[in-house]
Amino acid sequence: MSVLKFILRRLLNLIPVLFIISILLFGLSKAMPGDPVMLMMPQQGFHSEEQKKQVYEAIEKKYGFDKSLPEQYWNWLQRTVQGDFGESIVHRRPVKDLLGPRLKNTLVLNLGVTVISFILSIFLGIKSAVKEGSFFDKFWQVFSIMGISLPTLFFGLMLIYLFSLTLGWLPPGGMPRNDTLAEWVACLILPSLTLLLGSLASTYRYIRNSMLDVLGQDFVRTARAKGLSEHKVIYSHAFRNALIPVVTVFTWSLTGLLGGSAITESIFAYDGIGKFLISSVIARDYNVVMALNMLYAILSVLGNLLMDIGYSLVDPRVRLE
Amino acid sequence: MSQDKKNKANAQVEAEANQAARSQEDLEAALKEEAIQSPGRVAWRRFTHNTLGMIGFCGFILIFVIIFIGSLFVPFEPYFTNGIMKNIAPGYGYMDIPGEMVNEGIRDISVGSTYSVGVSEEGNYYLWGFDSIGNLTMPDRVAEELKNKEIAQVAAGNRHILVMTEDGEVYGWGNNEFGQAEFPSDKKELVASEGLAKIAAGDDYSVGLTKKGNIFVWGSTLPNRLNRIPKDLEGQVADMRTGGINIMLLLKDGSMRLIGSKGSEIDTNMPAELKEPGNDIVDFARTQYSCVVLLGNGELITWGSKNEKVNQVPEMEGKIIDVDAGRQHFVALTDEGKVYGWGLSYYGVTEPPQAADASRVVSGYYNNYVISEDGHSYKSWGLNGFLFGTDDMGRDLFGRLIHGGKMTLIIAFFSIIISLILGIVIGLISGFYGGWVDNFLMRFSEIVASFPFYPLIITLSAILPPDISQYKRYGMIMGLLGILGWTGIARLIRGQIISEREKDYVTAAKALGLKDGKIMRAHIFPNVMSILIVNLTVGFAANLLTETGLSFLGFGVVEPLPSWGNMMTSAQSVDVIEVYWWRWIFPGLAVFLTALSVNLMGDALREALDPKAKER
Repeated sequence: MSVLKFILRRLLNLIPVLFIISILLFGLSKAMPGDPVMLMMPQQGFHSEEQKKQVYEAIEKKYGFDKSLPEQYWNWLQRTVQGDFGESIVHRRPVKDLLGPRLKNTLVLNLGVTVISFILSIFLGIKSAVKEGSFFDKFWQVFSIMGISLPTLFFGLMLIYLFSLTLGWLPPGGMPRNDTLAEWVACLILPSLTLLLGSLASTYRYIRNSMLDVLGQDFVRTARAKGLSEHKVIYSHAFRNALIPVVTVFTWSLTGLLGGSAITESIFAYDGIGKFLISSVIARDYNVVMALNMLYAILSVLGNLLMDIGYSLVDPRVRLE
Repeated sequence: MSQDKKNKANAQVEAEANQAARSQEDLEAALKEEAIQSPGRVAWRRFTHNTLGMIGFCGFILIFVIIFIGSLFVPFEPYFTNGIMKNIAPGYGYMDIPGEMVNEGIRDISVGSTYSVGVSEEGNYYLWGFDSIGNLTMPDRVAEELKNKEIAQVAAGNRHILVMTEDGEVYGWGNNEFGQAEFPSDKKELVASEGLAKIAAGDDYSVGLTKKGNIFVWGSTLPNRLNRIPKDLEGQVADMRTGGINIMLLLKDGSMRLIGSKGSEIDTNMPAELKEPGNDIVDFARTQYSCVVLLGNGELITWGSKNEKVNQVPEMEGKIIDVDAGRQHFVALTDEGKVYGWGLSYYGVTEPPQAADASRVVSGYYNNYVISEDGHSYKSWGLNGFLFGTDDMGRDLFGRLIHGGKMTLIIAFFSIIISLILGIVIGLISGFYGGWVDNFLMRFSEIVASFPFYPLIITLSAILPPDISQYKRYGMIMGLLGILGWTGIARLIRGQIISEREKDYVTAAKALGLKDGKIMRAHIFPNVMSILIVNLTVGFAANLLTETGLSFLGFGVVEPLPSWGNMMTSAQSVDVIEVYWWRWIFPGLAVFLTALSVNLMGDALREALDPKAKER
């Protein structure tokens, strides 16, 4: 009951936060260089300056750019709340229709990576911390420090060079054309590996370090002194306590699910929202940029909510109030 | 016997003394170890005993020195481009003439873009330098046919080679996109009847001059109309000098003529008297847009492009006996054996060495040789190679790596400093005051932290005006990275403050009536120093990677100024990844090694500064 109440209250709290973010985003879009009306206008075919001006004003009126900024903001907010993100200038289609398939692609790519990375890093992190100083520990330590130092793009390029261009096993990028499972797998392997390295390296470090912290504490010694099995000491005593920072990383990687793969997507020409954002920013496609950022904002505040709930689940001392 | 005893006794005494000394040492060592050392010294000792940490530390110092000291010595001109030198793989030794050839004596040398070919006094053919595409080695079939023939002359173009035998046969290989390496079959008859006097190679075309003074051109001739030789030149040509798109001719009557593409300064600025017959011309040489002519009386006539500084002939000792020209520079040799260079000074082409008994100078593109009288010794200067290759604009990647690295490191450093300052201030305030201030600031930091980083910074960098100066742009990128990166530090500081806040010494300080600011500065801040140092290194590495990614996508440092990130931008095409690998591997490695060394250092620092870490 109290959990539900807490969630409800936090959700209500989120509204002003989102409100502030939306104002910031709107301001941001207005601060971008370039005139959106000019971008929407046909480039030629005017008989006179007069006609050009008429068309300009017509578009300005149609999209409400002639109104004052607060009015524009209010209109935009109303539409956004109703799920109408406007039309893409570049694609001349509703942003909503454009986002759907790309969102799916990004999720497909990131979901697997996040899950695998978490399972692996929890396993490896605990084992490393328990066997501190062993070969296993050292090996994965070196791996992780290499992993966090290797630029995503460099690793991606190396994979393409090796597996696509030299060995010819996998496509160097692009999307599956026929939508078959085999094609999807072929297209997903390299970008997934690229993302996995970075994610695994950093999550592993986090888990190992927090596990080491906990293992050095008195209650672990007590548990051992009590004669509990090592398994029990590690998994039910130590790990639960080590979970708190893990929850933080987990929520971050959840929000990163949709936003963290911009570089990987552009290296592998993978048609996800990261690449979409980049091309839209370059083309000054405001509506798309705004919609995507609003999506990220909602995701990140929800992520924070999840984090709080997560804390209360793993640590009974944290009360939801 | 007694002697023996004595020895034994002595040995025993010695042993005892040794033992005593040893136990004394042990004791001292024990005392030393027990002695309380300052935390700084303990941390330093721990740090220096960490092998990986020291590797990282030394690596970083090395990179730092190479980049910052190196950038003082490696000249850099961001707007410099050089189409002829584009996409050249890493390689050195463009001007190292094979020892065998020097032993046999140098008869003739022709200089190509990254290589040279030559004939020895014994008539043997040699190729040296760098074969960037891998097609410059003499094909077996040609070698077979040349076996029993004397080589009279060699000619090197941009990337093709021609060989002429004593009996006027021409063989060619290398780049043959325009047929420039393949002797035209319709000219065979002409050569058979008139005999071939000389061959030459331009960038992408080849020229032949018959003994009767007729020239013909093959290869890339359509854009520059070199396939149409004016009728009035029939039987008139005495000599020729090739270039990119036109040919300078010396006619038998002592006048000069340019054929091919016209309109550039080498054509329009040509002195009128040279167009008339009767000049006593001994030698002449040309660059892309300029030309010099050496008259019989030792006088030099120059004309052409002001950019190439053709007119800035240095003061010379003695009478000029030989002139030659490279891509954009001239060299001259006087009868006193002095060598001079002028023109554009890229790759040091205008700083020739002095050689004893020099008798000839040979130049081409950016390579130069001065050869001794007997042909058994030489000196070279100019472009000897590109350590890391060149990019699609012919820019030296080594220079760009050094100067791009400087930019990348500076941006990463200042952005982490901005983050640290913001993080410290916000963390201190939040932790020290608590309550709603804390609540608000931490909520805010959580949202900033959980907002996906790349999308946010890409969106933000889009509002940077496109027309601002490069240096303002640098500043803004630093600012953006700094503003988005403070949250982790603020949290750490806050956590530390909260645990320190309740400690007795702070209560005591408060009771003494010290001001909040003073307490923070003097008492709490030193306690969080270790966190800051560790964060400085780790954050530096992270910002390095972020800047790289951002510039790679085109939202950070933009061309023509280099950064490690934007040097890899071109690797978005499969062609570059596969064929021109050096264009992305070197910047990528640079980022990786720098980040790795900093991270290793950061880890070692964390272990050294962590009071909870086990001492022994």
